[in-house]
Amino acid sequence: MTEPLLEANDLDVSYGRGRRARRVVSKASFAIAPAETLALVGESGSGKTTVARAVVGLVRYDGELVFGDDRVPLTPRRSRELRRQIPIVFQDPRSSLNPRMSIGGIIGEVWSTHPEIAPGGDRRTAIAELLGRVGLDEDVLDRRAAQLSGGQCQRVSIARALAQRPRLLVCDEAVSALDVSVQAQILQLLIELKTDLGISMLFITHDLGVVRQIADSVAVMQHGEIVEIGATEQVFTSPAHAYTRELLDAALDLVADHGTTTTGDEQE
Amino acid sequence: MTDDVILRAPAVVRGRSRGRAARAAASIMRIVPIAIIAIYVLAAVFGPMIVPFDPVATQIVDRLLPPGATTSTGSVAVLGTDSTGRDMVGQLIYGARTSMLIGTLTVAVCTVVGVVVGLLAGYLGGIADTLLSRIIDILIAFPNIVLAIVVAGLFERGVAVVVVALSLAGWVSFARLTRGATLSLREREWVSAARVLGVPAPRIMLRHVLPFVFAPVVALVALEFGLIVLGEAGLSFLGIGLPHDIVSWGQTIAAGKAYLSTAWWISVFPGIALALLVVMTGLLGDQLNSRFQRGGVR
Repeated sequence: MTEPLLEANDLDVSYGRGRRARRVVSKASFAIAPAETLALVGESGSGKTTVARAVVGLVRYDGELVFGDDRVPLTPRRSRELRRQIPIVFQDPRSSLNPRMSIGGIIGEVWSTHPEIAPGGDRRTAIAELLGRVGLDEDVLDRRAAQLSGGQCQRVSIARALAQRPRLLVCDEAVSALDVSVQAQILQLLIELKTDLGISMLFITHDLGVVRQIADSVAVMQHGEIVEIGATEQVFTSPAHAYTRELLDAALDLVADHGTTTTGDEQE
Repeated sequence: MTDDVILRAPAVVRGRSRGRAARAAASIMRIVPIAIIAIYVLAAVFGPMIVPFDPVATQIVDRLLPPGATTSTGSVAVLGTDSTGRDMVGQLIYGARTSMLIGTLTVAVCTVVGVVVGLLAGYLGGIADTLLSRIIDILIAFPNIVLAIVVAGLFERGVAVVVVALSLAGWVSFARLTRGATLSLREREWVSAARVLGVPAPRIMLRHVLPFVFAPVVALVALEFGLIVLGEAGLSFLGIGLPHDIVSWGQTIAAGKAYLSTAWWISVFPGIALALLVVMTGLLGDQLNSRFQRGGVR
């Protein structure tokens, strides 16, 4: 196995302080190789979003997080360079974009914050090019989030993340709030980016169908702990933990209810 | 079917006209406070050009003239004169100018200080928040006017002292409002996104938080303006506000106190002017508040 891009060893995250502290994530260990996508699945409240927030530096954690060759500081105080390399796409497409700023302004902010990666030449052209990369028209540039659809907003969020020239993209339920058809489009876009640019991804979701399509490996979380981790096919075909089996069965029931079947590998 | 429409028509028309009357009344109520405040502002800005008035000149022969009386110079004192023969209309207009000046300066100081403190406390959290919040709590527990009296009483009378004395407690409500709004805005995802991106904290506060605090702050500006004008009048009434060569409603009311039974107009007119302004700014503040709450921060 190649040297991992991100390695988490015994990651603990607690909210609150002192006696009121509540541990949300405990002893989570996982690794993501370059160009690999790790999906973190589990029911709501299992702590998967908190793991994402720790990785991008929104909450304090304990344990060890190694990115590339460097240890990531425990507190949210981290270098700009590190922040540049790990962007996040949030669940709610609209509220991740400042409602008072134009789309051009939102993406331009990436380069005013990180001038070292700003493209030379005309800024507008560069932004338009980036928007084209995620499947948006140039005329979106002067609009605001309220004037766009949910799917378009999510494309803008992805464009903003790409503008950072990331090494690891964190997607926190990035397609969960979208319609099924839009969801498929955004997922397709993410898969394209992954294969074309070789970006690693930490993909947080509760939707096992989505995991199937995008993830190379899966970590299953329950009550703040990772109960099972392995290659996607392996986890789907021969789940080791009871909770994973439960999740898979529940997902299959849903699929059966909708009258559609996924290809192969169904559990009996 | 046609009959049906005809039969029902009058009721519909009546219903609509009642709705229109109610809407008209509501829209008048929306205009009244802003219109009256506009009159005060116009009087304060342009009044002195129309009504010549010297606040330190006295005309002893014209003292204590009732409203409508003719003065020794042949002009009509529409609202009467005071104990030194000065025209009441002139005093009201110059008093309005003073109130506007003090109100604007003080509210400006309070807004800037309060918003900055509130943003810092709300966004940074931790020790900064604890410290600033305790200061805010202490100042809230202390009656504003008492604090103003203590400070104004310690120094030589003057505009700057009055502004400082009133600002000392006035910024607190702005800070509290801004802090509360910032606390909830800080958790919004576009703010988190900016943090993840590595945008420096001062720029996050300016670009991603401040614009959304603006609306409720404007409503508070209107509310506070009235209270500050009232505070200035209070200080001047007590004789620790503005110096004598600046006309202030508070001073005029105090000067008329001795003549309440014989020359009521000296205290009553500035009193009405003051009360009306304070009530109208309050109404305007409430209107702005409810408007922003309806269509405000998304």
